Amino acid sequence: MAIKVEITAEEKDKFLANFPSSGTKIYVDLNKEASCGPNPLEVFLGSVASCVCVYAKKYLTQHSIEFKKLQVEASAELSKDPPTRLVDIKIKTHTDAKLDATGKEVFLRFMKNCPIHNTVIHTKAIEIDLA
Amino acid sequence: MNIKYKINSDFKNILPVTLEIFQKLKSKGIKEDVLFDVRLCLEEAVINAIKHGNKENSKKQVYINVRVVKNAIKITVKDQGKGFNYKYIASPVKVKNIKKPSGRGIFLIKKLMDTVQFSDGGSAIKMVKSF
Repeated sequence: MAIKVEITAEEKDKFLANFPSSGTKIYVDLNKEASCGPNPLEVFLGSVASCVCVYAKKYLTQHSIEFKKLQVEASAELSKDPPTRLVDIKIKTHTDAKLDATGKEVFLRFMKNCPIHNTVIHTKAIEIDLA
Repeated sequence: MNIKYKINSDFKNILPVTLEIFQKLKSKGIKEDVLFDVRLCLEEAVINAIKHGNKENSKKQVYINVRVVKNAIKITVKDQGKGFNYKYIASPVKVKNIKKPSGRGIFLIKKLMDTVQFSDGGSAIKMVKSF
């Protein structure tokens, strides 16, 4: 059984994203004026940032490192040259957790091993086909 | 170089001891890039020993042995638990395990270290990293 997500086009610029395994539905929207959800690029960036955040919290928690703040910020630019894509993707983790200098690098390496980051780094092609 | 540590099963002991080992290995002229991976794997192995091996019983010990032999760092982490069937480690990348937090530590260790072996019924893990 694979992980599945179904996206259904609805009226105007609205798309319904259905995540059957968690029973969650969100709207993806391209309408800038009256948006009811993130656009696909934001969903992608949110996916990277949330996975990094999950791993960051896991690391700090399992080391019993106290923290009050843990926030992951993702940003990117749209490419100016074809093909249209995100470039200059930056992920910044903000935390007040106390880590020694080498511990910070180890923490970073742990976060870089989150499944979404691994997917982005190791995926060379995505199969797109007609059912 | 042959150093041995014995720590109580408290997650707060992990960072001080792994930092000390990192610094001792660094003093041998081993590149930091190698040592960051080694420290991360050592942390993961000790976490597993405390959490799964010693079941977070602070009276139980975790034994760490670090040796530098020629161009390799050889690390053994042993707990006082009952061990486990290491031949059937649940893969964290299978869909049914995707939301389970366990299994990722060993997966990470296998990715970053050159050799990983279990012994003593699964209560000891031996890891080797060449440099």
